[in-house]
Amino acid sequence: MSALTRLFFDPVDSDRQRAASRYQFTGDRRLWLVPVALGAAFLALGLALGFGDLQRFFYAYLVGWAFAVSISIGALFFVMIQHITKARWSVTLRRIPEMLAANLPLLGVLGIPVLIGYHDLYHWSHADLYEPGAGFDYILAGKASYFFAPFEAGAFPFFWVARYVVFFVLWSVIARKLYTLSVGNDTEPSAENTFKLRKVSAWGIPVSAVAVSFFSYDMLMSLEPHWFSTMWGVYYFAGGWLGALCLVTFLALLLKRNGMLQHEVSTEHLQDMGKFMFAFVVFWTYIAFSQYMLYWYGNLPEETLWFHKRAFEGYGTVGQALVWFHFVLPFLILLPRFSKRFYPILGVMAGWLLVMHWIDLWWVAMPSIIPAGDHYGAAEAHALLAPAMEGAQTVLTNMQQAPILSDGVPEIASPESALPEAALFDTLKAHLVPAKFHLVDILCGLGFLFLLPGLTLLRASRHALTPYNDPYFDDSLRFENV
Amino acid sequence: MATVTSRTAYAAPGGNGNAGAKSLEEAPLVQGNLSFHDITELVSEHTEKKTPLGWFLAFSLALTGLGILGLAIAYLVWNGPGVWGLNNPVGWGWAIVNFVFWVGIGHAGTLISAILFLFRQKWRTSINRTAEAMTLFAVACALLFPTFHVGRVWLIYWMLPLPNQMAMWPQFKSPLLWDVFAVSIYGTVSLLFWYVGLIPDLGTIRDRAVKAGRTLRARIFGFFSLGWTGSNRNWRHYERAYLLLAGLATPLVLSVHSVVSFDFAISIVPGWHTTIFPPYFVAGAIFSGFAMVVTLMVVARKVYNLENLVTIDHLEKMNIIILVTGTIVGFAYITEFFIAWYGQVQYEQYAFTNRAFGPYAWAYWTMMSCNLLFPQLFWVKKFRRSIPVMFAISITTNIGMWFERFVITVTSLHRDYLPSSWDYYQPTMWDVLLFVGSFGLFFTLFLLFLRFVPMVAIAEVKGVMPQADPHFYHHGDGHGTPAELAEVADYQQDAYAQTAQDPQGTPSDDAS
Repeated sequence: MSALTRLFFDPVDSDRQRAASRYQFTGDRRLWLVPVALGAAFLALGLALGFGDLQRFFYAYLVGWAFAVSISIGALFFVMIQHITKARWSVTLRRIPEMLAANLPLLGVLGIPVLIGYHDLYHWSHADLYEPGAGFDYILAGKASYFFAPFEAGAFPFFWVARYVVFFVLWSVIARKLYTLSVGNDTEPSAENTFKLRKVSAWGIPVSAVAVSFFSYDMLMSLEPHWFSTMWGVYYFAGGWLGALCLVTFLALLLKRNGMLQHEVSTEHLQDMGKFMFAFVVFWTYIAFSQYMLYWYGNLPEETLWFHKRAFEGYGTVGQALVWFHFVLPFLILLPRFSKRFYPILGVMAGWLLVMHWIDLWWVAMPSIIPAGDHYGAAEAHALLAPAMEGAQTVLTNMQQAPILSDGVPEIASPESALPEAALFDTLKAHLVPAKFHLVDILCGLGFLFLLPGLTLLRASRHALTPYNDPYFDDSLRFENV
Repeated sequence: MATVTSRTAYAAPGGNGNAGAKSLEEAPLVQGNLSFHDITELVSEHTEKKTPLGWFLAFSLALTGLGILGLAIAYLVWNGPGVWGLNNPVGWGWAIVNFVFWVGIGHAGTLISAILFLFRQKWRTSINRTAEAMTLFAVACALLFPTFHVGRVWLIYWMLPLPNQMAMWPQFKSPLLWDVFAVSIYGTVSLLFWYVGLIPDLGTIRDRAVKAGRTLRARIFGFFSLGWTGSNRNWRHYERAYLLLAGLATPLVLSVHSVVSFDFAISIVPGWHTTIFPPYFVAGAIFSGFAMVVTLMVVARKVYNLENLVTIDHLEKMNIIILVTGTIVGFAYITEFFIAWYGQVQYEQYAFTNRAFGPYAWAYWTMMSCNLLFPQLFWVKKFRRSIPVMFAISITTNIGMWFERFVITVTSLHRDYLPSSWDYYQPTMWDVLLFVGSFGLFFTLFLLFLRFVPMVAIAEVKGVMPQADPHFYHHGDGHGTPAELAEVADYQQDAYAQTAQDPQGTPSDDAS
């Protein structure tokens, strides 16, 4: 096996010859072949179709990639938290998040298109913002060193790229350690491995937490370079952590359906994953609500701008859909005990929430530059809505002309002050025409949605599917929800 | 093909797994080889014995504090909040600082009882009763401050949305009103949770009182134990209720301090208006709450001879939580600072520079060292398990968390948008006396609790002991490895051991 594969795909050589066969991947190879092939095909197709509009492609790619990275980081945290809390219940399914987190080095490479397309993606990268003149932006000039240091503003964003490299190296080192120690323990069990895993997790958690915060500022928050939110790191993490819980559950169900992990991962473990999913649906909502509510209440223009773009102008439909389908619906469905123990519902909800997480990131990224009404069919929609808008226009004009109070301020009610027809039409149009998912967005999203589990399953097919020599393995087998 | 399995690797001594000097074995939660009866005795006796002189000494000290509180409140109500050190830009001083300080402390109890219960953290059983009691008393102390801050305390009921002839309605858009609801719901649910958990133990105390012939005592505990018999049906209902309350209390742990943080974060005061406040306040609350539990338990376990129940392992786990939450809080401070720079809003930038280097820099750096720096000592296992170190850090944490609220409140207010209003805030004697007095109230209630209520959850502790395992006494029938059998033999044979052999026998000493 080449050094490159070891570095980016699987640091441990296949141990199928030595590991206990009953815990190994016995499924059809199509189980990983199909998602990997589909994922690669979708990404290639996305690139092919996106050539006409490279900016759209870069945005679509960024969303898909940030989605995959967030889930892998969530999986990394999941593993570390299990070790640091000496958790026993989760041992039998711990290999799945370990395999997921091992995608991080590869995702570091797959992020290169984002680095290439940074000029299309990030408004702050435009040199003319920092040159004296009409385009000068004193706010961005003030924070330019965060992106460009040690070079001058508008040059190569060295600091930004350097952070990218540092973050992925850190995550990769942690993920690799967690992975090699755990997989190594299958064939050469030793209590030492457990102690080492705890040690790595102890320093890994704070290091990764700091990294994920700044990563989220760099990659997603800086898409709107004027906007800022101290909650942003938590928001990105909350979504990714939930995504990781869902993908782990989904993969466990998939493996079980294909005849693996029959006795190791039981309904009890899956119910606990379901509880976690339920709890972190609420946690994501708590974070999202706090961020939104505080800016809405403060009503400062530099802060509300971000939400204004996402609450109106076509993206509002998506924002509202997130409330209903990323929170209300999964909350109600995952609440009863029954649905967490019934595999079809649990599996569907895991997939559902993964899609919602992608839509969440899409809603975060897309409005930054790309206006909602800017898609095929917008003109038709405008024409369709025109009669309704004319009616609304009449009503509003009448209201403005009618005296509000019997002896109120008379000059307000003059017909001259009514909104110009064209302006009103534009406003209503912008509010009523929903944003659309572009085909390239969907292709890139599906690409990563398939690639991530596909690569994980391919890696899983080379080793045991469960850390069967973990000292707490027996405890985990015995685990029951009482 | 011979493969190694976890059974062969770790089960037998001398296997691969035991090669290292360190062991994966965890010490039992209850130490000292105690039987169920010993636990009952150990906890109950403190409510039954003659009141020791030391308790009276401590209680008179606490009563003095309570007296100071009464005096401070009387003076305050007579003269109005003008007796405090509030000035023109700093309209919120020690009162809100103390309110948030006490509410924060009141978070550990329900976190331990509800969230750690849902996470099946068995170690919580030794400390949950005390922590919950502490929670209730801290919430009581917290409520004092906003109650009297309204000035005309006799109109405090206007806070509630009561229908009235004047058609006056509270301001529903104000987070201060949300506080009224959030804190009162939290207080109510915490009280219910605490009381429900107490019922089996109250039954135990009642039965012991009956046996000792103390009728009045038996009557009182009989009333409060709601006819507990320890029957199967009783236990089923009890456990169902406990689980439901834990589920309901869990979101409350997060919501209360989130709402408290909204008091600051919804306003557009630089340094207050930041989105990370809700989770960061929750982390800070857990941080300070656990510090207070450590402060109290380090003393109580020694005085009440509970070192086998509240072991060093328990304290170590709490210290780890202090380390984690302290680091989260510290990272939130740094994030605020960074985003103030990144956001390039000059007011925010000024507020944060002023915090760190302005007139209140002394408070800021006290906060930073107590909350971020000192808890980092807990990375060292030796310090996590050292009573003097943890006691010192629990005290500095309490100080640091008080200063956090002071820094947030005062530094942001004392530099108004109008430089002509700028002023330096200093508390008066009445601010100080009210705060000292609130400790009097806290310790009065806490000492009464220690004296009259079983301070450790007897039934719950028994539930996590090895003897509670239904198969514990059945190892002779071919199940269990020799190592496990040897472990069983180490345990003292208690009343349950005999009844296990004699199915008709009944445990004689208590109902739980």
